[in-house]
Amino acid sequence: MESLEALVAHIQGLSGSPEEVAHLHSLLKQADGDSLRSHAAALVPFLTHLSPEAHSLGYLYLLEACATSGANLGADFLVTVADFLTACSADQIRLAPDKFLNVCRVFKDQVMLLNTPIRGIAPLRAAVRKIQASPEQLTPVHAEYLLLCLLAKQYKAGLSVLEDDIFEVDQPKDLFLYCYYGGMIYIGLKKFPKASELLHNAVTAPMSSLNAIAVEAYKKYILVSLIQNGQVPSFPKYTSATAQRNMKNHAQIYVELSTCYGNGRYTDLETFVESNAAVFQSDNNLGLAKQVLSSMYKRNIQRLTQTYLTLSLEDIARSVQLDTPRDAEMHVLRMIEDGEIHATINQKDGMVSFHEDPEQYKSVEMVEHIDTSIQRLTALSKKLASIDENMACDPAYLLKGGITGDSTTTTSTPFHTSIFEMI
Amino acid sequence: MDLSAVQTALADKSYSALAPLCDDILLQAASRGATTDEWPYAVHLLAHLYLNDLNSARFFWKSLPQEVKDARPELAAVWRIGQCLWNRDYAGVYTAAQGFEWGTDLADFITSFLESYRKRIFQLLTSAYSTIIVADVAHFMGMSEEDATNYAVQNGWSLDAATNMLTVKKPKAQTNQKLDASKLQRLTECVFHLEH
Amino acid sequence: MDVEGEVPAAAAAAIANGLGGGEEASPAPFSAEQLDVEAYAAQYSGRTRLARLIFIADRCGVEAMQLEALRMAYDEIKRGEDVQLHRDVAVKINGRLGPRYGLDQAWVDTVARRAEQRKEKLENELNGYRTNLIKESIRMGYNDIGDFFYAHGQLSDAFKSYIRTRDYCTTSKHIVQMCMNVILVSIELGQFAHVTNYVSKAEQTPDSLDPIIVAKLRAAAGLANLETKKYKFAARKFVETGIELGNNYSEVIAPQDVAVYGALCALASFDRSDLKSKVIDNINFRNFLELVPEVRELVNDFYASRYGSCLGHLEKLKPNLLLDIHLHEHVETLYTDIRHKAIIQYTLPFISVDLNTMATAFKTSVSMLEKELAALITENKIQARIDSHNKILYARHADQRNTTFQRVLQTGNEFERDVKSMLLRANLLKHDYIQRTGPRKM
Repeated sequence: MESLEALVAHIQGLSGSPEEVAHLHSLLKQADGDSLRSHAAALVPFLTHLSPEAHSLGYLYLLEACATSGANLGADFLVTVADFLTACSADQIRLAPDKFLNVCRVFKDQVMLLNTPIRGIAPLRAAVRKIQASPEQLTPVHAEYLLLCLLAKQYKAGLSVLEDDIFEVDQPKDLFLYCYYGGMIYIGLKKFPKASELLHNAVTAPMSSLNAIAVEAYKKYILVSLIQNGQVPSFPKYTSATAQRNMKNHAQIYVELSTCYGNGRYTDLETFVESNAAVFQSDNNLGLAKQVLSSMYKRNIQRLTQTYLTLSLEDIARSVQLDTPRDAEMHVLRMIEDGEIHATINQKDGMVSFHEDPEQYKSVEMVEHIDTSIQRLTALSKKLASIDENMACDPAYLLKGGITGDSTTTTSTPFHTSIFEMI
Repeated sequence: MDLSAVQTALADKSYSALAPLCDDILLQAASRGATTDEWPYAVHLLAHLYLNDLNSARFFWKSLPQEVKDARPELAAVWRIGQCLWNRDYAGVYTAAQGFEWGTDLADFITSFLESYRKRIFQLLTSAYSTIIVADVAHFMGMSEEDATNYAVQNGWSLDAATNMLTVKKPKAQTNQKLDASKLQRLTECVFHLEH
Repeated sequence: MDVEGEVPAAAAAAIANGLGGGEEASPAPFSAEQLDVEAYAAQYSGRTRLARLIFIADRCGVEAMQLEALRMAYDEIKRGEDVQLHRDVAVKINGRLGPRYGLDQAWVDTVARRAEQRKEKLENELNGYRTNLIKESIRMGYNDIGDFFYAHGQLSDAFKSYIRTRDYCTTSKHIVQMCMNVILVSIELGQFAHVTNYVSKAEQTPDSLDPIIVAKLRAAAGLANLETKKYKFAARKFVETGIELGNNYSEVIAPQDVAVYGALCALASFDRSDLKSKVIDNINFRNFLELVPEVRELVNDFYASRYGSCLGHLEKLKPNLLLDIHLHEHVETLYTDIRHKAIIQYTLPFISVDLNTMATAFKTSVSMLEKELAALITENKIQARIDSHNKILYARHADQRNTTFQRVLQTGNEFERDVKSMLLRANLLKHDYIQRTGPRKM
């Protein structure tokens, strides 16, 4: 093997045009391996001779050798990795995605080991963008990034990757974790519709055997659905048979909770949550279960708005099982503040007047909102049509679809059909 | 750690820009392993409250090590405001904000926060009530009954002195109904497309 | 959302009214007009008379009435051959009618012995017919055995024998006879699916049926639908029942019953125009209604929106209806439905309704009425909202434009969400193929 000095010289010399980089890549592949790894500690000084931006590919190989060597590389090493992830050239590192992912994983493990998850957030956020071929692609870094956001309680930071729609997935596991962690972040920020969307994707994703992430996602999905809608939708027909058959058995208490919620009695629900607090606690869902409980007041008050134009605070308190008219007033006020009902309180008569939604669908904002929705949906439809076409021409699909055309197993059902069933 | 951007924002009173700014600087600093002893925790927390982003405020507080919380009475005082907001203890917010000697950095920020909070609450009362007793207005607005009455009357509410009951004046809803011609054009095209 | 908190005074008033929709039927003693058991029993014949008398004795809760019913049943049974029924009634009487009305073991033994001989004779005869393969005789043989079992209260054996005649029926008349027998036994067995089944079999025979038979079949079908809670179908069958029925079907149903069952089911399930055309203007059914003037009045009251009077009539009828072997189970449901129909109809023409006036019309308190209305609004049966402050009900005129916008946006959101998650799943499946068919590239 060439000396490290020579290798570094190659890196410095061959990081210009794509042809040079390609040549360098083959050299690096030759040099890569245990020998490089065994020199891990010695590699670090060489890194200072390289520029993360200009010599990204070479830098990546050396960095990866260090990172995976298991050697103790000191506190500065994390800074080196952080700087590299932020500064590296996307074009170069995408030539060796596995190396890059390794570096990210070790980096994540390290900051978690040091119990400083916040250190990893900015670098991994940059890393997601570097390794992604398009914003629609899900990478293993996504889940690692979201995990760090959760651990560092930087929930809002998580939104920066969650706000892109993901369509391309390489590893099912990435998707399950992404949906689960993403759901948790949205739950923390009380954005329940988005949370339920992500969790729903984890629950209904194709799976041939039940996985623990999907089960945990299902538990949270039940709680979020109750908070959001007061009921849990049944499995859509495209849900894998595995999930439909087994999911409920693994979330018995949660299914019972939703039944109890359906009866609409606050005290019953309260008793249920209290007597099963240990289960919710051990699933880390107790806080969410308590939010389910308080959502029942809201839901019951909302239901009254469908029936009454005016109702006394006293009657409201009685019908939603609150202790005093003042409690009812504070609940109504809170709901007005959060935009959950349209109402005015009349203290003189102790009455509440409920109003229809004042939205008249005439404002410029509304027109704009509708307009953007239409744009989005049109784009989505086009995407759908093109994917459908691609699929119909995909030899792998044709082959598989031809052979197992009428097979009953979920995984080999031609996905072509599943698209048409959906629409 | 470079805090000049934070200082500038504070000096310019561009308070609503502070939260994202602080978030970003903190994450960048953390990634370089910098120590955060100098970090303006209280400003950062108040910046979240200023935007009424209680979730972020709560997670920020929860993420802090106990020794950071213990060593900074001003930070703890800001969090007391946050707790009142979280628990919808409307009156408690004023007590918490006025019950602490704020440093020069924070005093103006707190005043500004209270001002916008009071404005928001008055708006809430305007939309949520048709009649409300003076005592409750004073409670929600953190004012004396007299000040509260004056404030309300100045905003067009009327007082029935016999019952101490205020009747709320609802502002006329202002909606911009002018339609951008290009939007209409696009909608038309879309409908045309659907029909053919 | 129904308001759960109890308002004791109002609730008590509603129970006194007896129409507090959905309250449990309490087997309370009937202080109201008592049923004339003898006159009632005279409407029926055969086993249904016994069954009805025993039912009344079990349910009425008034000892005098109970004993009268049992005495009549006892006497009637002694004229027949059902020893088991005799034993049962003797136990129910429990000596309260003196020694003449105890268990008559001698009678039981005689009847049982005679039955044994007769059964043997019938079976021998039947075996003879079967060896000779005389179709008509076999049919008659089975029929006789069916009659024998029926008279002795062995209903499922009777049912089987009647069913067996089916293979030996040669004319439409035979088929109809078979059907009528099966229907009779099935009603007593409570097998109403069979009733419906054999009614349509009988109706499908090619020869035109005797009007009396047609009427019987309609009545039986009505009964089957009533018992299976298909009140609208039941109403249709009863109002179609021809007046030829008369007292010809007394082993099953009296013409008065057709009037009551038909009217109540119709009120509970017909809309206003059907009520007018199929009940009130139905000359045939009017003949039935004339037999029970109270029911005729309450139908007219309902149609003329005199709800107070209508509910009053219903209330008076209730104790007797609860003693009806077929109707008792359905009284509460039908009454609730009728009451809801009345409430809905009352509110329909108005933009606003004063709840005080309405409560008076429905003989209830304002707060109880509010609850009933709230429940109906929640079930989307009334499009209105309650101004509880001023005690006024306002019709809700849906804003089509806004509703449409709302629905469009919602549909758009759902579509977006569904398509995205579908594309994701499609991608995963695709990945699955790639992984299976070749090495993954990354």
